[in-house]
Amino acid sequence: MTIPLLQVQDLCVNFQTRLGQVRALENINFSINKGETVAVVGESGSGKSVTASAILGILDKAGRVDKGEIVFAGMKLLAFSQRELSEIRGREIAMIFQNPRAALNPIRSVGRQIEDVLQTHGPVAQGDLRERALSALRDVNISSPEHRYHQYPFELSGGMCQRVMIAMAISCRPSLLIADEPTTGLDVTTQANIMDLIKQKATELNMSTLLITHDLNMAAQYCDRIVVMHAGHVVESATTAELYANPSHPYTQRLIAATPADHGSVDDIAAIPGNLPNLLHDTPNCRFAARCEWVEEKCRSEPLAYVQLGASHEVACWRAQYYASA
Amino acid sequence: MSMINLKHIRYVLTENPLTLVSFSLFLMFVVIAIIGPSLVPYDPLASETQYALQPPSTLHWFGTDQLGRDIFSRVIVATRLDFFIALVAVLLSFVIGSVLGAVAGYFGGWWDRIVGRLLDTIMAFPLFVLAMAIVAAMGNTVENIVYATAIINLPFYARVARAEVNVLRNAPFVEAALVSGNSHFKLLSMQIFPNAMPPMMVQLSLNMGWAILNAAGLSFIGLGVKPPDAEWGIMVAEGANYIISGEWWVALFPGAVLMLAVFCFNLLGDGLRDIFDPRKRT
Amino acid sequence: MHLLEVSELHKHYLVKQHQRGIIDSLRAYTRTGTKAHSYLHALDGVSFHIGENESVGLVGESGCGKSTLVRAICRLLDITSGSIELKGHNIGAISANRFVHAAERAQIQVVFQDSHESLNPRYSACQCIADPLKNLLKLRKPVELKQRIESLVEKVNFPVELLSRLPHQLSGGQKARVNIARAIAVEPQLLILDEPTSALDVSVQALILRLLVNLREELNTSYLFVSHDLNVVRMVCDRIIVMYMGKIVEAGDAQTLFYQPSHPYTQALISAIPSKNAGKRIMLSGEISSPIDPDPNVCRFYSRCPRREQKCKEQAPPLHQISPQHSVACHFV
Repeated sequence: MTIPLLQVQDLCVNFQTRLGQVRALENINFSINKGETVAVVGESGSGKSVTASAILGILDKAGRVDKGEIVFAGMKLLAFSQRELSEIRGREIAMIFQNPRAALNPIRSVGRQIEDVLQTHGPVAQGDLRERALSALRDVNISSPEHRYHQYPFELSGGMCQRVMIAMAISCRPSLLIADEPTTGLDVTTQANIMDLIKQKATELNMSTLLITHDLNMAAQYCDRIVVMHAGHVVESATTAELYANPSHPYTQRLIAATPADHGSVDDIAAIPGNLPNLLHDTPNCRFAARCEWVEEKCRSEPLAYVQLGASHEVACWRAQYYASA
Repeated sequence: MSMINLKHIRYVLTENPLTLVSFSLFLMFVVIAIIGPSLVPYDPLASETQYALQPPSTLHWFGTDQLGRDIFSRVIVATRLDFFIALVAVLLSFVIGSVLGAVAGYFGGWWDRIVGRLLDTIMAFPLFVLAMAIVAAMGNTVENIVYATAIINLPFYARVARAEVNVLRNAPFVEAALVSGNSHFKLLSMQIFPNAMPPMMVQLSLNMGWAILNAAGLSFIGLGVKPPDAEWGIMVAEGANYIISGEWWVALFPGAVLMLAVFCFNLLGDGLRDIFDPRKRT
Repeated sequence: MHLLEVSELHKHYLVKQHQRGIIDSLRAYTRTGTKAHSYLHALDGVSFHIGENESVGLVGESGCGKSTLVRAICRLLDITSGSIELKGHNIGAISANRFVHAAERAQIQVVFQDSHESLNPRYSACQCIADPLKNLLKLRKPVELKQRIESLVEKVNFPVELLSRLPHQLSGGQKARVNIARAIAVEPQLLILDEPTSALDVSVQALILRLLVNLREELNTSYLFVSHDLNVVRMVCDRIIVMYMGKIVEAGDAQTLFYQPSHPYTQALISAIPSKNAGKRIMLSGEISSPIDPDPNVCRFYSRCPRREQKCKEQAPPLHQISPQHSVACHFV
């Protein structure tokens, strides 16, 4: 059995706010193997971005990891100091963000920004820097890299900026790429191009990818496994095929039913009733209980139960054992 | 329009203690300005030279000046005059300046150019010198001090208003308001302007402080209020002559109260902006 | 007579000298022999119609001109040439500045893209919805207004007790409903919806889409539904118009266009939609052509088209009908 590249175990993250403590993440468990692409899918408020921030150690000041472990390539990241983490960030684990133009330095040319990354994780000989930056641009299929090298982010389109970000991210050949909603706001064809590029580079470099998205269709098309999150809990995790064949958690079923697909009419998409629970007053039980059509007393009083449905299919719902999805 | 409710005001006041301090101070000054002159122990203009230059005592809390007038009474009475000058001048410059700036920012083109040149003309002068020039040319009455102060403060409002309106003009809610049938005038006055106000609130308050300083400064060099009227600046000016000879109270008390007033206004601005900014409401 | 008839709509923006690149300046120079002005062709000869009670979808990527088209139709900007007719009245001839006072203002309403930014941050939900009622229907009496607003929010499933809240105190779905209530307040004949659900979570999106579909039936309004999510457009619209670089490249019945797209661009667009059952993607390579002073004889899609040939560079394909409800602008269809 292979040891996963990244393993998140029982991760709990709390945020201290003026109104009280918000338990943003509770007992998050998932893992990513080498070369695998895993999607963390959830709506706003599900905690998917917080998970990524926790892995990289860039949580907001008010956030704290209460419990749990993050093991990356055998290293326990939570025990690392910021300095040790900064050695890993960019070199071993890279991240690309949602609004690419905003994530780039507006007053520095893109070529220079790539060089900055290379130099930080160097050593790179001065003479080689430019060449390596140009080859990084070529690597992400940017045409006329010599010309683009001197351009500033505002001169580039959204898709182009995202490619530059990807170039910066993969320049040090990381083993894990975290992509936080990398295609939100981009055109459909650009989205497809960017996702294809990420997939291509992941295969080339044998790089694992953690894709954070709210788009289930995108996760289904590009990822090997999907982890579904709701209100700070992992409710289901399985391979893509298994998840669609056998969605076992009520939320997953609802999510699939609510996502417009390439068939069906508007009557086929169903809304998910209710709202996210208020995470200020929290108890260790199912956070979907208020919105679930099969809720029982057990769900509200007992702590969340995790059921193993198959080799790599886990569901946080006690019903799953007895009822396969309809 | 904007819903300023008491709960929000209370929240703003309690969140930052400085805001509460500045509001209380401001309230105190306003009360003094309104009822002070009728409660003063001595007639501020009554000069009794036999009691000249007496240090602070139980009879005269702030001492007396060179003409035997009670400084405490004069400081109280001066509050009304200084506040009056500051308030009217700042309101005048706010209204005229922000309207000009808003029109320039919204319509652009020639409006912008003309208003821009007007403001450039005013700002080309060192502002205090310009105030001096205006008062010297028109004569030093309280009215003219108000006009001069209003004119030199105009550019600040005009520029802030122009910048804010220029940005807001392209906001999506403005487009939506146009589609909802708002005319340009209605849009500018009812939708855009209230949103442009918060930055100007801070400006308003700071300006009140500057206006008082301005009036005091003009009086200090003899171009302001004419004696025997009580005004903080003129009192400091007269008292400056006596510091060397040891009669420190003549200048200090009016100066200290002047400083307190300006300090109060500076703090007030932030609190006002918090009250008017709807996003701060929970 | 259709509800909305747009004919040969052109919108060109003058490119200021200092904004022009060297290539564009040279191009203008070689074409006309003088240092002529350059124009950015945001819309070039757009013609289509929307019938009564019809829902038409408008799709296209950034730079295709759909925002310009939306603003032209709701008269927020002036057009360069062409006509926009609402039930026979040429509203394109009325300048944007004066349209505010026109009778037709209430007939075309818009639900804008960002439901948060479309609401005045200082206006409560109630005041936002009251705005068009006061301006266009001249309702002044508080009792009348209250009644009207309450019936409107009931239609859009917005809780009455939240009417006094400010935008930042409302959720995404609630803000979307306020925007919709405001837009239907004056009972417009044409409702333009610019990406009404793009910022919403999937769970809420379904509710809003169902609401929009039901409302249309209830109010007998026509929709112009702009979206980048082709799945949604297919579900909600009767017909779809696809735009590329200021021109319509394909227009037709929603189901047909989605499952049997004819224009190469539409085919590429549909193949790019993420899906579990994604088929082979049509890759578009090449640079996007410049919208400044485009050559009128070259197909706009030429530089990226996988099926391009010499003919496409010599004559720009006109939009022609290939079946009663389906038109395409391509030489090979």
